[in-house]
Amino acid sequence: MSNENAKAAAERKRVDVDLNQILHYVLLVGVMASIAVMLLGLVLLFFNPGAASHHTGPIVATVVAAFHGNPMAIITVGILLLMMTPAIRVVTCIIGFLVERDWAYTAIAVAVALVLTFSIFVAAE
Amino acid sequence: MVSFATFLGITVLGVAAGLLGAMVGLGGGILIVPLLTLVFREPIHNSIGASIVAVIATSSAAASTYVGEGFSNIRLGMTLETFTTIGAVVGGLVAGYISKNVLSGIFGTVMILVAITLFRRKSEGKIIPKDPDDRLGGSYHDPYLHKDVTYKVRNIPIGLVASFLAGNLSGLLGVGGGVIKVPAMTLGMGIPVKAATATSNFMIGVTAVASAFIYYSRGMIDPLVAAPTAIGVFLGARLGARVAPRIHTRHLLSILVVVMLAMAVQMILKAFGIEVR
Repeated sequence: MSNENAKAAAERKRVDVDLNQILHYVLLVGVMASIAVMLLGLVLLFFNPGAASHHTGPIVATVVAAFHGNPMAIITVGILLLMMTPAIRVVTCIIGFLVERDWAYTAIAVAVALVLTFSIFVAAE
Repeated sequence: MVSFATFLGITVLGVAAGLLGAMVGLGGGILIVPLLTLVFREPIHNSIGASIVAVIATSSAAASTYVGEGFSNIRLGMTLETFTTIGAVVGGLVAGYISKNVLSGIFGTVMILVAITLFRRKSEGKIIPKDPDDRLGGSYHDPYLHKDVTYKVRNIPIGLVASFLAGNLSGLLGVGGGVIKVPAMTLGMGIPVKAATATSNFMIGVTAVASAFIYYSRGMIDPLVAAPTAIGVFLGARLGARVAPRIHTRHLLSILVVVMLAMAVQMILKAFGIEVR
């Protein structure tokens, strides 16, 4: 019995170490990608300064405009990617805890995700 | 039209804030907001919006390193984030209803408190090793002490209250809130400084996001201010983390505290409609 407990504990430790590494890459890639997209938008804006604007629009329209090459929309998508990075990190934690069958912490991570979702709905009001 | 001079100026300012912040252990937020409002005359709500975006960049980059090295306690971070995010949503909603003068005054006051705490020695409470099957407790390898440290997490309610307040501060003022969380974790919850700092950083990104969409939808995130600030602070913080171990930060800290107090006074004067340049 204690042997099985030890095995379970070892397994948990291994998964935890993996989760650490996965979160490391999620955060790193998220930040690097968003900085790169912001820089791309800024470079495009440099060649087309007339497009400059201090305002942001609805998220979906902004993403569409970014794919059409609008420099301001690309900069804004960079900012939105940055804002999504911690949210993706929370989702990664949910999956990690689920894999470990750690229901209590899955529930806690889901609660955090719900608060973030709520904040987006409050913002949209 | 956009002035590229302003643009470069904001980037340089971001680099400076990130560099100084990383060298003395501050997130950039407490320096970004006063610099944007006092030097670039940006409206305070937009400055806070830009700071929130920049804080997500620096804390995520720092957290990526910490979590990879196993210093962050993911379960503890997740637990406390339930309250930092709720606090941040409340703070973000409230910020929209507070006039810029009052917000300047609150910011100046918080800045004075942060400046004072910079001088205090970072201390820990009693650290109790965790039980083998305790999931919330943490462990990490301390490269300076050359040993594995394990610790038990105590007094979770203290952590939750501190997290709610730190979230408020983040949503309202665009700062990370480590100034509240780290002492609560080290002195109140029995967590070693290294793990507390790493876990605080781990939580800051998620906390900032909880109010970021509120700022975004209110048009308080000006991309032409937020993007150069975020890029600048990110570069500055990376640079700062490299040079920090090689320089004496004591004198730098004294200078920074004087500068922070001066900016805090200006922010408070601004609250009363007095502009000093």
